[in-house]
Amino acid sequence: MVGPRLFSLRAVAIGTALILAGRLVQVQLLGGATYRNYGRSQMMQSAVLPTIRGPILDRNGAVLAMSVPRTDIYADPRQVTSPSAEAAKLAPLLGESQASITTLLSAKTTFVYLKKQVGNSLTKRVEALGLPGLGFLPDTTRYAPNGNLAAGVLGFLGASGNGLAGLEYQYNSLLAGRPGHSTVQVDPFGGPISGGVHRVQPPVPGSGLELTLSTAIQYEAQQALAKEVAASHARAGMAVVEDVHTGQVLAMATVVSNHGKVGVSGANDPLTYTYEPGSVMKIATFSGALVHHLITPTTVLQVPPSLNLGGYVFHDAEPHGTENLTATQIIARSSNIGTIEIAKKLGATGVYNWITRFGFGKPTGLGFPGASSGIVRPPATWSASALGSTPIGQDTGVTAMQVLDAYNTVANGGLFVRPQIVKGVVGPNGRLRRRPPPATHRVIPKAVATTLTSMLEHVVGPGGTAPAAAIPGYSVAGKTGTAQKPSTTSRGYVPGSYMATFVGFVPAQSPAISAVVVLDHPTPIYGGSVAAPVFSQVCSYALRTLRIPPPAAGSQSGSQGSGGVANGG
Amino acid sequence: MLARADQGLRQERDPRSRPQPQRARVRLRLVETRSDSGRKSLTRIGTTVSIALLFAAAFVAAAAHALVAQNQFRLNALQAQEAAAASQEKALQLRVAQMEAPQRVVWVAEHRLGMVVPTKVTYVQASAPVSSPARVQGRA
Repeated sequence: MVGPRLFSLRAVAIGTALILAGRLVQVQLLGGATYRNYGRSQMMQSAVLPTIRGPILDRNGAVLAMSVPRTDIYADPRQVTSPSAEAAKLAPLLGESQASITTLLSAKTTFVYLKKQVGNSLTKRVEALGLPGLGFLPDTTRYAPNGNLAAGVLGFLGASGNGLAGLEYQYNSLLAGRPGHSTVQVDPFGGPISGGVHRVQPPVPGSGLELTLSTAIQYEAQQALAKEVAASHARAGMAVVEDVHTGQVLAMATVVSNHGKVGVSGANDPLTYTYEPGSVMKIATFSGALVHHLITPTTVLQVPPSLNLGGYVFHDAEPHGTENLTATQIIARSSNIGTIEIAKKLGATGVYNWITRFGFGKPTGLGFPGASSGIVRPPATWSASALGSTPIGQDTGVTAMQVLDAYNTVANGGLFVRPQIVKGVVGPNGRLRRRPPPATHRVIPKAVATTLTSMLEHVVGPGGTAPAAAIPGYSVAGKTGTAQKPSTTSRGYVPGSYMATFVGFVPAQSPAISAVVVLDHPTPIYGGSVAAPVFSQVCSYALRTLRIPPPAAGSQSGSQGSGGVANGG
Repeated sequence: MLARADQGLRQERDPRSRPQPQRARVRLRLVETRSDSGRKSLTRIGTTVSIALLFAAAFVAAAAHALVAQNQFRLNALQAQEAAAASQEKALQLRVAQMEAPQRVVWVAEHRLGMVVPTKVTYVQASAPVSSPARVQGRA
């Protein structure tokens, strides 16, 4: 006979055993996987291994933008034993007030940043304090050691480290690299267990870009442009310098004036800003007329003081009576009426075809973010006066890069060469993978290009519109453009507001570099007065820097050189 | 106890009991054969060696573990050193780039060294005619 006490004891023992067994089943069988994962998560420490963004270099390997490892210092306020005491030690090192750090360390949270992107030496000094509750996270900072040099071309990064504009955006995936991951079995103190799990997927560092830009020429272009923008009280200015034969862009600058303060712009206007080009567009009409043998440089045309076309009266910049001018004189003086007379011979379709053959209205092929293709309307949509306005650079929208491409084609013997900004990709091993040479296609025969070059040399001569573009010792060929700015609020143009352009190449007889300079709303308004001197200064510097000597005296045909060779024609 | 002793005495005096020839009582003892002895000693040696090996293995394992741990610490330290060196290299590259920046070079040339931009460039004519290069070359 079992007594009630023994019975109760047995019942309790059996019950306890059943509960334990049930719990065992629950832990081991039903929730086994969960607890196993929970245990692993406590033992395994996973971390993202940050990668470093690739640099952007100039054509000679000089750094234009690079990333440097930095550290973010944070705190877990729950683990901070004495906020005020810790703040007293941290404040002088971090350069913050003691009160602000005390506030951060006293916050009711588990994570606060104390200072982001701290350098190595400072990080070591903070680490050496051994303060409880502090932590350190790897980070990187993007630097432009040349300040705002080519800022609009390079672009910038967002807070997340991704490119938001310019080449940083265009080549983000290539520059960014791929972060790595590590999974390590750790002891209770967080140290790695020897022989434990240690899986590491190393980060892939970003590739670099080697650009075609030259730091020296870029700097000179920015300086000269900024000086002229300030002197002419222009709203903005842009300039591009290019290698004639390879299409490599040596400099691409944008400068803006903000309440009289002139500085480098973060925008890249030569590729993104569309404007009416004015007389620089005349090259398309002259090229077409020369190719179709409608004119020769010496063809004489009667140029009246004004011309009514479709109810719209066209004038030249300078009032004159009826004149007989050669085609060369028409382009040298930039006569609107003379050009329209030639355009009439070519016809609307012919003018349109030649404009588009030079690349206007089409993408430049650079793929730059926000790059504009310009606006060229087909003849079917033209008004009655368009045959007058289009050949002289009205009713069309272009970018400065497109204008330069067109003149570079003439400089390159009629061969259009697609411009390049990126020379190649620099792998993490430092080896440069060059990009294939850019595609080329013939626009005008070489003979026509030579003829046009001779005609364009006269623009820089004494009778032309841009003697200020001359470079002592060299012959320069080019063209001015002074275009009214269309109103953005109403029909017609803004009175007194002009875009002043000079585009050309040097040495004219053996072209090596071409350049375009554009000023927005300058005073005086003429391209020959404000843009041409910048062209002369920048190209003169580029010629010296690139060690391009003046042509031998005997081979020089222009008048603008210091060699004193007479102007022929 | 006494009863048992008397009984033994009576048995000795029993005439019916035949006289037994006096034979030397052979004392039996366990004789170890040579093979048994060898086996035993081998077992002993084997056991000793096994234990020794076990200890040696444990020692080697412990030593190896200690070595791995030591090397792990060394590796961690080297990796930290490498990261610090790489970081320093980047910082120095940045410093070099900042020193080479055109605006700094111009500032030093003009303000510290007193240089001025030439107003005129003079080209020296070579005795033989020099033609312009067709392509842009050299450092820019």
